[in-house]
Amino acid sequence: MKKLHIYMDNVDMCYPSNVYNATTLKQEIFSYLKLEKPKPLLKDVHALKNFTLHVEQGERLGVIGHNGSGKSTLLKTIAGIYPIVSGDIDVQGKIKALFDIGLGFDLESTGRENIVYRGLLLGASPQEIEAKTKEIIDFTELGNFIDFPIKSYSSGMLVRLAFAVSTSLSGEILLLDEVVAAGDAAFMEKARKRMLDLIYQASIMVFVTHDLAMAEQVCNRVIMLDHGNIVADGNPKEIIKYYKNHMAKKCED
Amino acid sequence: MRYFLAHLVRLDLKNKYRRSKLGILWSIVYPLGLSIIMGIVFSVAFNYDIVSYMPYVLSGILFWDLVSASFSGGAYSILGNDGFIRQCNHPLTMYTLKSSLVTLINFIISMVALAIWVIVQNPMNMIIGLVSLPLTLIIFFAFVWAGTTIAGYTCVKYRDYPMMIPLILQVIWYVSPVFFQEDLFKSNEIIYTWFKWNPITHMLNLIREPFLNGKLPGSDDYLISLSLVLIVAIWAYRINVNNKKDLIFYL
Repeated sequence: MKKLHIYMDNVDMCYPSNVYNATTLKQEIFSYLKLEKPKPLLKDVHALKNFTLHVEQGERLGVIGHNGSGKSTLLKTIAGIYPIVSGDIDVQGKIKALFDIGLGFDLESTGRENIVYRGLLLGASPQEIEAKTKEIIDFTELGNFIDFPIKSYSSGMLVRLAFAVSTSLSGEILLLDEVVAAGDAAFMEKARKRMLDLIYQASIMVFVTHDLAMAEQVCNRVIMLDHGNIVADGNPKEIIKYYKNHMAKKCED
Repeated sequence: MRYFLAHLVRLDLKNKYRRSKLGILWSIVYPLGLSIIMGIVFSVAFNYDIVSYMPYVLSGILFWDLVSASFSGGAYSILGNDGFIRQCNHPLTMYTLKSSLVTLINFIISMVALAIWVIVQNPMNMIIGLVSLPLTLIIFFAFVWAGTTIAGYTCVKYRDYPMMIPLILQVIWYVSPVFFQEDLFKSNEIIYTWFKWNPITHMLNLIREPFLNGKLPGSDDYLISLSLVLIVAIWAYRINVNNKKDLIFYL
């Protein structure tokens, strides 16, 4: 069997600023006539800089860092959603990404129908989904509500459904972005257990989180990002300690 | 991904007529009703022969629905699916393909309305109509997918598109024999030359010749239609190649 891996070599990823620098005709004419100041131009956001990261089979990698340090960008780049400017990415294995799990539900369809839709989106076949449907419904504890259109659901119910479907299918490479299940305390505990099961089934996991305790518990390697660079890489305990010190120092300044 | 695409198409068709009593039958009843209204109006106003004009205008309505569904309706084929695009690495063309399949399926269902007129008036025409239909559908589908792709990509980057395109389409509509008959274009040499070279005329002939006149479309009809399809297809291909990577940032 082929060995699974994620290799990123000297990767640069930029958010182009021209998206936000668009001007209207009125602004162009008025600034040409010097009736208004030209709109200040935003610069490209260089989100990952000459980024090199090798993740091998069996690694459960935690990614920590401040807001805006490039964590989520890293995940979406690995998933192939964001294009890179330069460098190489080589991903060996079937990716399963869990971010924005609440997006893309069809409000008019029932919970049961949405389980099928979400499963198909995640790349499962109709037969696979059929086999899992009962287990998913049981997990959500939605009972009869499962046959109601999901526009009638409360936000808590929707989160349960989204979480239950998204975590029902495992993948070879699991990409997680701060998946937090809402709901009452009992459901949270259940969700946590399910999450751990999913994590241990995957051959490779990349986990972006601010929950340092969870990172220390499930990961066997942690990297800390800052301004699109890896500033620390290694044993979870050490890196998390380093990160905490770093945060404390920042607070003092 | 194949399953997901099939599901999206089914969902679109289902959602369009959700909670309506007639459901998908509207795809037949609506153009049929419209052709009756237009038939009456034009026969009174322009002295058109109502019997032959109703299927004529209906074929125009059906084809024009294809054009506006792709170039105008297709504007949201990518924007409307940003929820999926943000979390899955599927090719963007999948979403324009989805809209195009929905458009084409609707067209095929609406063709039943035309079939009703043809069976009532010239049942023999159905045979030649059905013989020519597969190739016509392939040509139309290529046209629709290309148009939807152009609309979908352009609208993501330039939100002026959905406001602008109905105006352009309106102009094309007026200079094409969608509702108007050939006689109306004979008043002036230039207009008539344009009529004969207008690719929309020939695209329309792909349906009208077999279903209304009982003969196969001419080779000029095929040639000019295919040329138009080829041009929009190349255009759509280029738009896709140039934009597929960075489009995500505009969503």
